[in-house]
Order: sequence, then C-alpha cells, then structure tokens
Amino acid sequence: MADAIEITIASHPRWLRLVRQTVLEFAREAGFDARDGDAITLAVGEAVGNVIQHAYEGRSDQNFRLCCRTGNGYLEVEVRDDGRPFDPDEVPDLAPDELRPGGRGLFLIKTIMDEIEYCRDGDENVVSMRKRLAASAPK
Amino acid sequence: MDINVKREGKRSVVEVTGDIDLYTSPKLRQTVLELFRQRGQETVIVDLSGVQYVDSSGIASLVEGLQEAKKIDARFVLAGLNEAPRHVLELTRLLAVFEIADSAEDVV
Repeated sequence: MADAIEITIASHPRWLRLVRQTVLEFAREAGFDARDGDAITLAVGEAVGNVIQHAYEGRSDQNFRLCCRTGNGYLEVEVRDDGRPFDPDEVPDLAPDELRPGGRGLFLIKTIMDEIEYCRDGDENVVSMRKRLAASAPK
Repeated sequence: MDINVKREGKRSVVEVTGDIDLYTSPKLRQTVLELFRQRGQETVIVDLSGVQYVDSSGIASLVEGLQEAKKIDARFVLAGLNEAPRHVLELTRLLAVFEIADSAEDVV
C-alpha cells in the first residue's frame, strides 16, 4: 500500500533541520536502517539546499514543497519549487579527490539515491529522488 | 550548532556541537579562517565528537580550512568523527585528504 506525506516549507535554511527530521522518520517507517536513513536524509537535505541556494538564490521568503511517498518498491522524495530553473544534469561532476570547497551536493545525491530525475513542470522545478526499499521493509 | 574555541598558544581546538548544515556552516567557516588569518594559529583541531550531521556546505567549510592551512603551512585536524560525518567524508572521497585523529587530546 502506498503511503505519502506532503508539506510546504519556507525557504529559510533554519528549516533544514525540520526537513531532515521529517525525512528520517519517513525512511524509518519505510523500513530503512539508521545508516541508510541518515544517507537518504543527507541526499534530501542537499536537494533542499540547492533549492534555497540556486533556485531561490538565497531568498528565504519563498516556499517549496516536500513530498515523501512509498510505492512500487521505492521510497520517493520529491522537492518542488517555483524558483529559477535549475537542472542538476548541467552541473559538472566533481573529479575524484578534487579539492575545491563546493560542488559536492549533487554528487552526494547521485551517490546515495538509486535514481534522480529533474523536470520543469510549468513554473516549477521538480526533483524526484528514489531509493529502493530495504528487503526487510514492512509490507 | 554551538562552537567553543579553546586556545593554547599557537594551537586551537574548535569544539563543535550540533548539526553542520547550510544554516550553521558559515559560522564554522568564519571561526576556522579567523583562527588562521587573524590569530596566527599554527594548529587548528576541529573536534567533531558532538556532531552527528555534516552536509556538503559543512564539508566545503572544512575543505576551506584545510586549504587555508596548506597555504600558510599550518596544521588542520579533524578529531572525534562520529559515524555519519565519517560516512559523508568517505562518500565524498575526502577521508584520506584530511588529517584525522580519534580525539583532540590525541593530536600531539
């Protein structure tokens, strides 16, 4: 049976902690262990950080939507904003051992999650990240 | 996130407690860079034993600290890594780039 939550959150970085708590709780409910739950939480935190930094260019008076759902053997997290178009595929991959400060957010998302998709839906950026449910996940 | 700096001569221990993320990492970055640039510290140890979460902006702050240390031939050490921050450094292939210590007291 599919399960889902959806919340709208202000684009201020102080709410990142709330995002992490929400996603971690959802991942636990979906049957992920602590290590995977932490990793999924990190990936979603990075996606939301991109919304705040890039799509909204640091403006904290905007909103984005966070949707977590399970179904078809996956946990899916969708982040939706109406900021500047931002395509993760256009960000160059970080070279191994490259020692520059930034540019690791997308690398982390791609490394942690099984699938990541970006699309522009009307005026909105939509980033969808999927992680296969753990074998021990409750039905 | 809270930061407490203990200075002993040319050596400082930066004790961090809480999450290091986009909201809090600027404070860590500023603290570390100031210790090298304004305080002339030769060794800065970031004690992460009170940290359970570091995101890419936190990693960026730590990388900047390391870069600054290399620039002035100083020492930059990460101490007391918990599992999740260690995992982030592994995922970003930076674990071998930093000098790592079990605890701040172990740094001689």
